[in-house]
Amino acid sequence: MAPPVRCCVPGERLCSLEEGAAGSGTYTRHGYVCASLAGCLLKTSEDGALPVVSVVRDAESQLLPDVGAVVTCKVCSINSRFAKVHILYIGSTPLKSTFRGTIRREDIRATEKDKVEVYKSFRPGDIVLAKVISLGDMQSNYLLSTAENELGVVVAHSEAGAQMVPISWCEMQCPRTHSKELRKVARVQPEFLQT
Amino acid sequence: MAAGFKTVEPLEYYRRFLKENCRPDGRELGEFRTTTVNIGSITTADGSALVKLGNTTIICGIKAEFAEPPAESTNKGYVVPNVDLSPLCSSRFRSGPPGEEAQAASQFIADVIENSEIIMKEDLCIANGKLAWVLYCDLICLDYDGNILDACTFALLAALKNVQLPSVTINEETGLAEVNLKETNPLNIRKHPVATSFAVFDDTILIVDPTAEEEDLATGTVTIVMDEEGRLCSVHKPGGSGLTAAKLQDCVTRAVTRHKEVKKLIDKVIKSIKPK
Amino acid sequence: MPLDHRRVPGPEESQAPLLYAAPGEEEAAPGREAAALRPLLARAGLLSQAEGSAYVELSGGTKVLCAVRGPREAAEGRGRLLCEFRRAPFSSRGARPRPGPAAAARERELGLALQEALAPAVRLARYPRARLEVTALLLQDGGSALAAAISAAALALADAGVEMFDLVVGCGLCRAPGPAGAWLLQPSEAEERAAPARLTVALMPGLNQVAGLLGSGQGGPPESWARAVRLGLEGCQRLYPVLRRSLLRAAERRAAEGPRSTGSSA
Repeated sequence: MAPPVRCCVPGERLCSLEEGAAGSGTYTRHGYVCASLAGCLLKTSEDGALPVVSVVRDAESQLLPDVGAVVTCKVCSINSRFAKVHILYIGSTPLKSTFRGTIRREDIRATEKDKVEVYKSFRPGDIVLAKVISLGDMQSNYLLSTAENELGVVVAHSEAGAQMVPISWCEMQCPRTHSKELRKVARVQPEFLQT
Repeated sequence: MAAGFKTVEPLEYYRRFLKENCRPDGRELGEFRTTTVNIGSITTADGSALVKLGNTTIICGIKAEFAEPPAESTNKGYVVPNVDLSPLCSSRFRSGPPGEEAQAASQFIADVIENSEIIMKEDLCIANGKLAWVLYCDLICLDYDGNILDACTFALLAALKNVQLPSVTINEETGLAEVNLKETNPLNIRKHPVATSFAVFDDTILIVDPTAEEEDLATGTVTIVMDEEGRLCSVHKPGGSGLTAAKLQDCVTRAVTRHKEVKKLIDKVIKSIKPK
Repeated sequence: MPLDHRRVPGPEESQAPLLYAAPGEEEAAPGREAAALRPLLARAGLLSQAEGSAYVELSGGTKVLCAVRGPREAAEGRGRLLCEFRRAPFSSRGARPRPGPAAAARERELGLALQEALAPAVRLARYPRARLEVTALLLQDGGSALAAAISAAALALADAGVEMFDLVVGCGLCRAPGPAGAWLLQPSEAEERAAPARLTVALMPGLNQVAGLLGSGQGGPPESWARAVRLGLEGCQRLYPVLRRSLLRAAERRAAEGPRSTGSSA
């Protein structure tokens, strides 16, 4: 990127549609690409294609959970049909205010869905990686799923209060009492090790 | 990386800093945030001050009005403090009538005014039994990052020192007040109370001037209000973990040092705007 | 009056000393050019606890602070913009307003005007299931307060990283008393008080579209109002560069400070 970064404010015309395509942080109007964020201008061009013009802010900028996004959440309550969670992170970006989500029993794992029991998968206080599958309708909130190997519980505390160690995809062990507890454990990928 | 740990285990995250005798914002345990004060910026008020304690920002505006003195003490005026914590300063507050924390803070400020004798209410009386000043002291929090009691007390003191009241005479014939806006007098500030707040961690560790985050994680807070003669005006300890007498004594000693710093700052600012 | 236990009690009644001052002590406003703008100071991103914030000051004493929170989870499906306008009790020259229904209704009206002026500029479709909260606090009323609040709120929204079609610039006007009174741009508080008619225009300067109009007072010939709107929009265009610069400065500061901005300045 060239050192003199151009900054812009919402409403500024960046270029005409012939010169570039609208990327994130922009919109098109009257044949022009306009900025919709206050931030720095970024042009990325691939060979032959029109350069994509976007406006970027620092990592802090506000995100909303979107369908397909992997989120980190904390379980706040469970019952026999679903677990209620608070979404804390989207990808690796922390949210400033939490959003509520629901993991239904049938979305906990991919196989043998009818045998799943919520209390054998999550407990309140667990930190869970999940994927957004729907923004929900008028009544319900975000619907999340953990039906992938990489999704599920990443941090959990045992009844004795110690942080447990995963021993299989469905069990975790307390290092203090050596008792085993059932969880839908995530196979942790290196990129999510930070949490 | 640290941010993730902080969200998931905030208390454990904090304890690791305390073990090293420092805080996440780089301060030592006994270090205050940078304190600044700006006096008289609101010209529609009779006195005003803006105080910043790190990010925490409080503005105090004082409006003086006439009222009949209270029936039970006809030679006194009124000082009416009001602390306002709205969604503007933090997402933890809702709009509408004052919430619990705002009520507690207003009462704390009222107690400080009463106990410290910062101004004598007798000084606010214009005509015995007939007319007295009411000082409405509105303290609005603009940015809530912890320790608002220290900032409020300081803002109140600075604003009171900035108040200029118009001179009032009672017309003998009509019995009505006559106000001369051109001739103004300052208030007689008798004492300079300064608040110093501490947060208590795990019942033993004391840190001064806590941020909002630290207040949320702490097991208790203590606020000590001291005047220039080293007399205690108020000790405010709303619940939380217990504190040994020795620790409390330690707080008092530190409050004395803090008073000197704040007094020096306020004198400097008052002096800098005087020549005008 | 019922006792309010949530506030420290004061006297039942009190009057502003201004009522007892000899009349005519107020100096007459100096003659001024109708289209003169008051210098404007704008600063974005100064509050640590809000997602976005801005402060706008008109020389002569109008001071507005604005904070934006969100996007936060909303109960309803669609994105919503909520605006609140508050006046500090010490913001006006006369008596301190008592908290009560009358003051609340006035603030609600201004909050609604603020929301109507901002709504066209915010891309609410990008915020499903979320709400954005805007709080404006008038610290000192020196005239044209709503216009200053509109400009400050738009800056705060942009500072929060909210996706917008454009900024919004507000400009206040009032008609000078007298049969052939001219429209004055950005009136002071004294001019506003004496004026038979007032107008606030809000413009989206990049798109050159009007975002809001709020007029009140005695009617006049339609061409007089049309002239006022034109004059107001011109005023908005002249204010735009100042606001834009403040936002760019905030963006640069944030970039210089690194990802975690501490927000404060001055």
